[in-house]
Amino acid sequence: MPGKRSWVARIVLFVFLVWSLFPIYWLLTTSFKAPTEVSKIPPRWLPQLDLSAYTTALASPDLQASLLNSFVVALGATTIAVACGVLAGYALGQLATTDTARYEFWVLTSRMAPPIAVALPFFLMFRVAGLQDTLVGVTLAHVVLVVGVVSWILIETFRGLPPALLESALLDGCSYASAFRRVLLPLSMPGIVGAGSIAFLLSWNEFFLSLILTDVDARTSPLALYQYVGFQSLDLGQLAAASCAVLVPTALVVGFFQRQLVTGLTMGAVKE
Amino acid sequence: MSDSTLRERRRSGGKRSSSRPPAAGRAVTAGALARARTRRLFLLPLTALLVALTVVPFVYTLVLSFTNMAPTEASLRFVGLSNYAELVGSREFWSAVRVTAVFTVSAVAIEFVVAMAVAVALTRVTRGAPLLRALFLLPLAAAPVASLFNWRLMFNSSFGLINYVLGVLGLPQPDWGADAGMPLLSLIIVDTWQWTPFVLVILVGGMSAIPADVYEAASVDGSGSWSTFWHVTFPLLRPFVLVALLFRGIDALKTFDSIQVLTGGGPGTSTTTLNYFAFREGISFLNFGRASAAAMLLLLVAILLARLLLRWLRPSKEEAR
Repeated sequence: MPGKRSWVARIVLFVFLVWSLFPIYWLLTTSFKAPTEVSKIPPRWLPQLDLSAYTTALASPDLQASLLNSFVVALGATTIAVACGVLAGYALGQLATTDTARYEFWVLTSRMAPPIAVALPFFLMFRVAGLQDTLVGVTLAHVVLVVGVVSWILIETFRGLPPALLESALLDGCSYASAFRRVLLPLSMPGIVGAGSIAFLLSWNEFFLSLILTDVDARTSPLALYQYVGFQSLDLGQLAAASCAVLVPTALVVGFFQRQLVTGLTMGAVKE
Repeated sequence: MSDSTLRERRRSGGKRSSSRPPAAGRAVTAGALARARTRRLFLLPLTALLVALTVVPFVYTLVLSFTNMAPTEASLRFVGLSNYAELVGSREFWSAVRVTAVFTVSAVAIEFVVAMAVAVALTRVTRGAPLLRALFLLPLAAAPVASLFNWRLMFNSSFGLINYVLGVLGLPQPDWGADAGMPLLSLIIVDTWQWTPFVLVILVGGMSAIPADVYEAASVDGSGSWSTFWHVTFPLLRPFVLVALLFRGIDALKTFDSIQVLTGGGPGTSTTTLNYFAFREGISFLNFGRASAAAMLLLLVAILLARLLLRWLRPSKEEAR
């Protein structure tokens, strides 16, 4: 089959590649343009290397604070979700003796549910509990967002480990808990890293819950960007530079964890 | 590990291991107890988390949907189904349903057709396919607010790149923020950019699961490439197509970021989807009762679709029962 009519395939792929990457290219070139070139018509297509937008944008205390907040929240949400997910993965993927479909349906529901159904109660409860506009509050909300995906991947990971491992550890005198700690946990590391990186990415990119549950103090970086957009007078090159700064972690995750990203986003519908 | 050994193990565990040597019987029973105890213990944190962070909020939203909660109401009371009745009777609600339907159906359909074409094209090239697949993922992972802001600039009517290019090509330059239908079209375009990779990933995974000899048999039978696609590839791909459409469909229903950054639901209510409607009712207007009712309707759709999806994601479970 390959070879025959493959020029049509090449054209399709080329067009799709340009379509997918051009907006990202455009954002990058905009961020490296001199301030006078940014919104010029006709536009300057080829990149310049003017760093002034970056030096100004990255010096902004608001952006710095929001990047730090995002980092803390993403790390916190990831840790909580992965810790619970690993334990549940062992319980459901290795120890379960009966059908686990009902529990998994629950996990899947938390992935499918519209965030607005948790955002409204959180919005009300957080005010009463003093969690509005705090890092703890946003972190908890982000846990809701990532816990379904993370648990799903980890259940799959533990299910993928041969049952003989657990059996021989038990024969060697391990308890169920120590078999987990000494044998199965180390072997599930790739799944943990993958699930963790996706959780980090989802939390890092999250906008909706942060918009509702933070004001100033706990503002995450997507929100800081969004509030820049509100001020039309602001220099667009700086905005592009700030956007690129927010994009760096995502590019890294795609580069290193492509396979896990696919598994996580599709809830294991695709095995690569 | 194969599914059959998994089922074997489960069955033997479920029967308290009657297949084991009789001498080990008591130890195995004690082991089964310890196993059950450990399982419950290890499942506890996730269960607690899911109850506290999803079940409690959902129940709260459900209860709110039966109340008149809003800052304009003097006293909080139960109003039965009247929030739902009001929703179904209001013009805004049906406008939101219509916008949601148009947006979801057209975005998902376009994404599906494009992803299918690209997935087929990927099977025809011999070199570079893995690199291409990685590059195609970028729009999916890029921080939405950053990439959406970029799209907003490109759609700008006075200095945006899109209208400049349309002008150079001698094509009409619409006002993307105001002309009839254009704001919704711009949302669909952006959604296609961001989410086609997701559908693509599932379809590519499905195609790689089709054995090569199926194609060989088809070409021996003298089947042309178009008819091979329709009669061989597509039927075998069906479960993956269903999973892709379901996932994408439910996520499209929840679309928020692009609406908030690009159109704000406007002009008027022309780009206000049901999800955005619930957000605006609840967070901007503080009509918690009404907003909760709308959120519950969305949640109900999500739960029904999750039920359907689980059947395709975990087919072995159904067989094992």
